[in-house]
Amino acid sequence: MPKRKKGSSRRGTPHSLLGQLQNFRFLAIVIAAASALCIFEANNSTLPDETDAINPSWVLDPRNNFPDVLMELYPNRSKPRYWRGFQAALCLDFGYDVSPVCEKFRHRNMNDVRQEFARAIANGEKSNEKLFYNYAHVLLMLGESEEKVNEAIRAWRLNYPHSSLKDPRLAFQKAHDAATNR
Amino acid sequence: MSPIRIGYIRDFRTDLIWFMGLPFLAIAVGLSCQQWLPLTAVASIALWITIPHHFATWARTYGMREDWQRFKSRLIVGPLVIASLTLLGVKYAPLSMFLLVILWDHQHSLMQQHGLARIYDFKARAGARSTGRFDLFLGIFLFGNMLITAPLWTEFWVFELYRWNLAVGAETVRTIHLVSWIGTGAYVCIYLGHVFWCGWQGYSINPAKYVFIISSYTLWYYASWHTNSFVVFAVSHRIMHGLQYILIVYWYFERKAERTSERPWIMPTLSMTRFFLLGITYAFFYQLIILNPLDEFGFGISNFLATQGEIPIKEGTSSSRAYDLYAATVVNSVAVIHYYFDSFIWKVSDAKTQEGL
Repeated sequence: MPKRKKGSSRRGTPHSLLGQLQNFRFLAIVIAAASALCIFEANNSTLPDETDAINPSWVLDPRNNFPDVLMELYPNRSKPRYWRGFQAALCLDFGYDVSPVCEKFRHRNMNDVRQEFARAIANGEKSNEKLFYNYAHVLLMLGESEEKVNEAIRAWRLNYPHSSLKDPRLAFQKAHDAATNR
Repeated sequence: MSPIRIGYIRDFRTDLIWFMGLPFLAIAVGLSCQQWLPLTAVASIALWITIPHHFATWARTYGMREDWQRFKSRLIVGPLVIASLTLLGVKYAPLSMFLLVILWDHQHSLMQQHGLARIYDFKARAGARSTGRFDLFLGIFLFGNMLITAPLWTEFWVFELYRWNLAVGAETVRTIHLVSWIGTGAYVCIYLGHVFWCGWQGYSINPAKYVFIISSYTLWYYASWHTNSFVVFAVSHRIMHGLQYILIVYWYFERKAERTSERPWIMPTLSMTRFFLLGITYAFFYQLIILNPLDEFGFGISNFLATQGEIPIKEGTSSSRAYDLYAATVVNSVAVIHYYFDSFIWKVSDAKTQEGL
């Protein structure tokens, strides 16, 4: 059998077309795997359109929901506390109280939501903008003093100085006006 | 022949500082940022270290004639394909794009520490032919176990499962954790068996490699277990990953210059300070190109001053969808191109690469 030239292989020399294509093998594998996932996502209407969208079923599904799972696993960490507060807020103030998950909040109020958020912040969470923002919003809903509200807004602005979210005071005022006009 | 043969990437003192000691210093910096600085510190670390470490990749791939000639097709076609597909991904499949970038980032981080560990064995001429593969699987098991079992990452992947309509219960998560720990424990036993086998067969063992591996994984495991926020992990990981990368690239230039007299065209006279300054300059222009504010260089100090006293009511900074799409495409493309280039320019088994180690 003739000996193969040094530097060549069954797959072709590095400069042949086959050799050049071989160079892209790794990228081709990554693209193929990513494309399959992308196509699945693009054709699945039940998936959210944006990375920061929240589907209420993740929070309120009585069989498995994200806050209950995290609370069972890590009851003292910030993220479960935030999601517990978020779950309570949906049940108490946003009309989702028909969900069986909301049963546990029957004798609770927005003050409990505030406590969950405050605990999450006190635990050291900084990488969740919604936590800071929603905490300020809940303080406004509870009619807390200007000083406390400002402190919460200061913490939000300090960590997220270039946020695209509207000031919670404006958002609260708008929601309040809409409710009054109704 | 003694089974112990010590080899360093550079020398004892340099390695002690930059490869064995740096992870501990990085944890201390991460904890300090968590304690005393706002979240902006993470963006600042990215601008001072992560973006300049991308520059180091470009300085090598597009700056060294040898690398350019060897990898030309991939250096031209790769970025074009990646940028185009990233644009499509960000626009039409943002969840998949997000997952791809995160997963590739993890794979890239794991492979960098694996590559550095391979340099230790290369320098000491230690290990059997199969040791590289055993090392790779050690990294996969240890890093994978961290991603699966650490609270910081469990919260992340459980949320991702919910997002993809794969709701799981706490019992399922615990079972996955248990399987991961058992698998990792079993593999560590196999790995230790391999080390003993190497010693038994007369292959050398380089203890410096193990100190390096242990210090790297101490950082990752500590930051993933003992913090409530991504700040400690993000800051400490970026310091370790970015600084070690910048140094290894610079030393690569030095060795290449010694052995082949070739230097990157962007830096005809080699100087570490100049290399860092060029990296920071690149980060400055990068920040301008993605239209992000330059105060992110400042660890949030300017915002600290701005938020004292009265808090004026502000409308949110409006950003159009077109801008969001543009910024996400640039940021993700640059990161992914860096991961891709690193997948082929740092093969320790490659003779040309060895010239620079």
